[in-house]
Amino acid sequence: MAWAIAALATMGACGREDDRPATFTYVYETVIAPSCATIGCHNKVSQTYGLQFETKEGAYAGLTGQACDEGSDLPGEAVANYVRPGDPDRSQLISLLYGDDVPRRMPPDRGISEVDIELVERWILEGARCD
Amino acid sequence: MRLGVLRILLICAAVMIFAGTASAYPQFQFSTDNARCTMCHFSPSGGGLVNAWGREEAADTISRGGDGAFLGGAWEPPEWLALGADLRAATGVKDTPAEGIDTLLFPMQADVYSRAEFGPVALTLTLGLRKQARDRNPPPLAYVASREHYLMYQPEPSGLYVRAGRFYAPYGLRQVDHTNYIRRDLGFYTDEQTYGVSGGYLKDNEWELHLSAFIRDPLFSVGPAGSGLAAMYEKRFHDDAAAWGVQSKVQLGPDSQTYWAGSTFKYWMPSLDLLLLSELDIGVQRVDTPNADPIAKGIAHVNLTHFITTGLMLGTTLEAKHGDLTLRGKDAEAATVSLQYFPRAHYEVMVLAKAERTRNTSDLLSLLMFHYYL
Repeated sequence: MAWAIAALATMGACGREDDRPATFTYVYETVIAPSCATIGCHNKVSQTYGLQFETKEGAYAGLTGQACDEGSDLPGEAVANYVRPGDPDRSQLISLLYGDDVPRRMPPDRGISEVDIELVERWILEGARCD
Repeated sequence: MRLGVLRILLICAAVMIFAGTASAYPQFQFSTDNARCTMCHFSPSGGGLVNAWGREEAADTISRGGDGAFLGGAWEPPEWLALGADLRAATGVKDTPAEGIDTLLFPMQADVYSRAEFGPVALTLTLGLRKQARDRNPPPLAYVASREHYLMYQPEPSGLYVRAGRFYAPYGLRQVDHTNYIRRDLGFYTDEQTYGVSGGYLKDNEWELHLSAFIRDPLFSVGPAGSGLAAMYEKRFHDDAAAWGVQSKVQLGPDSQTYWAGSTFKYWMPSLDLLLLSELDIGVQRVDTPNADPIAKGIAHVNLTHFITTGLMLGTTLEAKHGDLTLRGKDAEAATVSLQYFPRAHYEVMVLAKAERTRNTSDLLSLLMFHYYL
């Protein structure tokens, strides 16, 4: 299956431009849940920096300090404003993902691809809604 | 004897954080003349506690000698009870562009295994120390985890079996390195064992089939959300020196559904003392949000292990994955070289070097790991 490895590596250099929907559901399911909600990181057991990402609602509350459903209680502790809606440049989440001017890049075990960080930036730029 | 037990308890107490998990060594299938995992392991899919034959193999075939029995034969549990433990610690260096060189020193695993057998029914329980619990005032139990606990009905070592409880659904290769893409990205990462029911049939050395239905751990919500189904079939041929397998898995979460299909190929070349283990998985993920196209994914894994001499093996692993086959920049590749030495039964020393590259990062990891198996 060496051909499969070569094929997958080669396919990384081509492909369409990113037209994925920048909704929080999409960001959560394709970026946050697989990369950040693992054991030892931001799940119910570890709660690193008080952040629990094992549900979409918990991740949204932890990142934005807002509840997904307006009027409902926050499902988790809002530790800081990691996300400033409309302003990815001033959102600490983006600095953490790029590893710029922070003590530790997130996730520490392996970085998130640039195309996924750009998707998160786009979600913030478009208002960081819980959609 | 009392001092030995106390020493073990002290080691366990020291392993309070970062405890991870490790499982089977698929490299020993075929290369030790054992065609299937259940020759040496109680679990139908391998890993964890080894049986009496596995303990003999640990001394005679895998390592450079010693006594593979529980406690080195100092005390023998009653016939209905099997006990064991895994202790792992590692030190190493990680080099990332974002952080530079970082020195690592951490316990990896501290698990105690037990299996009580009552005729065709057996109860398996694994108890260990959990990764860091960073709640401000965690209760003591927050540090304790049971990665596996299940009740199994298996009248004979071959044939039909059914089990219910917490375990990984049998699927593809179960490499010891949980950071391999086939584990990390397929729902078999550290502590991601699911609750469920699994059944199957082991046709001696000829073939085996496993079917599983599972849900995410409802207590601690570790691993992919939702529930799912998994199926795996492996057929052996070439005088029990090769195997071909197919597997499929469905993961149904509240906001997304992922479907995987894959294949494995294993080939033992005795004249070269070389074993090939390979796996390819192709997946499709659907996310429940407007204007989202289905996401096509792929993971490939090739491992070549050379058995240099008894107790010493050199492994090379190449991996590639693509998180969206139609999108530029979602690929990652990794290459690992490892040297594993088993000086005596119960002991393992491993040196590992791993390089990983994604579109915007490249990380290097070197690791020295010590492993003691009780």
